[in-house]
Amino acid sequence: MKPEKFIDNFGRSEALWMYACSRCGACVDVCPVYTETGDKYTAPGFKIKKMRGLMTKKLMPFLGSADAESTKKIVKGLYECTLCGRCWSVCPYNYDLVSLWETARESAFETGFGQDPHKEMIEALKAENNIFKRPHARRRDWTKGLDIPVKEKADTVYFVGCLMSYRGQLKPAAKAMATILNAAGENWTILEGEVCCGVPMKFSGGTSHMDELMETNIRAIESTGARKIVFSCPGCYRMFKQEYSEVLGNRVRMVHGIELVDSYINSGKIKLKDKSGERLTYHDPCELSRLLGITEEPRRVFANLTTQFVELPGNKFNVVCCGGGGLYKAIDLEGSFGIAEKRISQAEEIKAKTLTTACPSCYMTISQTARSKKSNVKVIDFAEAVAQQLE
Amino acid sequence: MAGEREVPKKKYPPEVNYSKVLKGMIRTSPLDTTFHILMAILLITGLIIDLLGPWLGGWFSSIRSIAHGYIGALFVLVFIVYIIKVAISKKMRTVLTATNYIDFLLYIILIITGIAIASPNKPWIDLVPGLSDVLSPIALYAPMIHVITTYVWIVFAIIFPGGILHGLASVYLISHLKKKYKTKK
Repeated sequence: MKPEKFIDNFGRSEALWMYACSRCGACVDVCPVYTETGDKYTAPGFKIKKMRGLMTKKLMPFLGSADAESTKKIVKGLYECTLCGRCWSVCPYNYDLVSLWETARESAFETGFGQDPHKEMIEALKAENNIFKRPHARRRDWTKGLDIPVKEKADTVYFVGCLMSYRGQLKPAAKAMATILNAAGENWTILEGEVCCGVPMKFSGGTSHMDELMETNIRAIESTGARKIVFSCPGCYRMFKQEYSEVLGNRVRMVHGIELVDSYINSGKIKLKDKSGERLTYHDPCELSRLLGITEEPRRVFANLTTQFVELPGNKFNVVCCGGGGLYKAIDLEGSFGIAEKRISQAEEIKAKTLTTACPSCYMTISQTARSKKSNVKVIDFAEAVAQQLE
Repeated sequence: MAGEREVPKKKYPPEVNYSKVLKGMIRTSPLDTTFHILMAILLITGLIIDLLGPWLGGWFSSIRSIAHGYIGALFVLVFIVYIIKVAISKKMRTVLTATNYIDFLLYIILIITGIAIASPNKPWIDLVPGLSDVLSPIALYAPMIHVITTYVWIVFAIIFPGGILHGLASVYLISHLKKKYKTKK
């Protein structure tokens, strides 16, 4: 471990932003992890304060040097974060804090401060191209017995993602997405050679193997000649928009499943049954709503599904994270479920019968918590809710 | 959730310009905004008085008494409220550094000496019996202490880093990031 090297990855803009921070503390109270744990090292403003201290020591060595113990505490705080961007949403300076946390994690990982669960995840990715260390050959096992096309050429690629591919609980959601694509008459395929999009590497900071994964996916997508990629996972979706789009360019349109369903309903490509009277609510995934701006499409979709759509407190742009983002769950499972428990309680307070989401990670976190809390709120993926209503 | 508030939708990746930052500051805390604006005015007018005094001619009096003096008086009131806010706000104490507290100490010296400089000639001083006698001897050394403290603060707050470096970094960043800003790529 090289504590003095920890901030070497920071560019001029990161350093200047840390000095420019107005110390207003607005980011402190809105952080879901700090609110849950009360550990000041998880408070965004406190992390900036500590990293600024390291930066100052680097610029002015006579003030002393960074020690491993305090750097460890700062790094631990960096990883105890869901990367939900709520801190950014309230920052008066509009400071791109999500990028800062990602850069800081990269720097931490490179200098030997990476977290063990993340290191194991990266080893799994290197060995089997998925974070669960499940055999790559079994990535398409979920398709067995289902009408899931694997074509050489298609107009649309459904990028399934690791969670949907390997987590049994999410199989109904993947199946529902396939049903919707079939119902819309889409000429679609899943990728034969799909591998992890690389977002866990980006979140962990260990990005050395990321290019290989990206290259594999890009080759697989380009070989199909597809003009559209559909995602179920906002993490994959954002990763593609941020990192892959430079290579894929404008040739391929990227959409999340819920955007696609909205367009299908508008264009009449799918027909839905009469609206149900089920009291249904929607948890906005942070990456989809706050960081990608997709907030109205889900509401339009749910308005077509039920007459009783109710909003959770803290929604759309101001959504409160479920606790499952940014690989936080791998670091502090208890804290993650604690945050999710609040979300479940909020759903119970508004008397929602069903809670939907459009993110496999949110689904896993919220549904696991709902089960352990013995909540009556049923948690399903949006695609399941739509597929149930298909004519 | 404590401190939760509705905020207007922002676009990610963020755009940064003076108007957005000002709006963001007002939204987050009008008190903070007032504190920072007044502080900037006082620093600029103070430096103008000290460095350009001999060349100011007729402007000197108005800059010193109106821009620096009366705004300084307003700043004193805002600073008192700001310090109370810091004392009762856990989130602010979480993010403020030791340097910021030393900054505050230097502000207090500047405030006391500033009042001492401005007060002996003011009619309201006679309303408090004996205050004139107390302030008059302080007023002898107050200008020197006021000016020296200002420069000590400037140097200190750049090196350690405090309010000045925060201000300089902010101005630099916002001036250079008028278009879409992204830290990486």
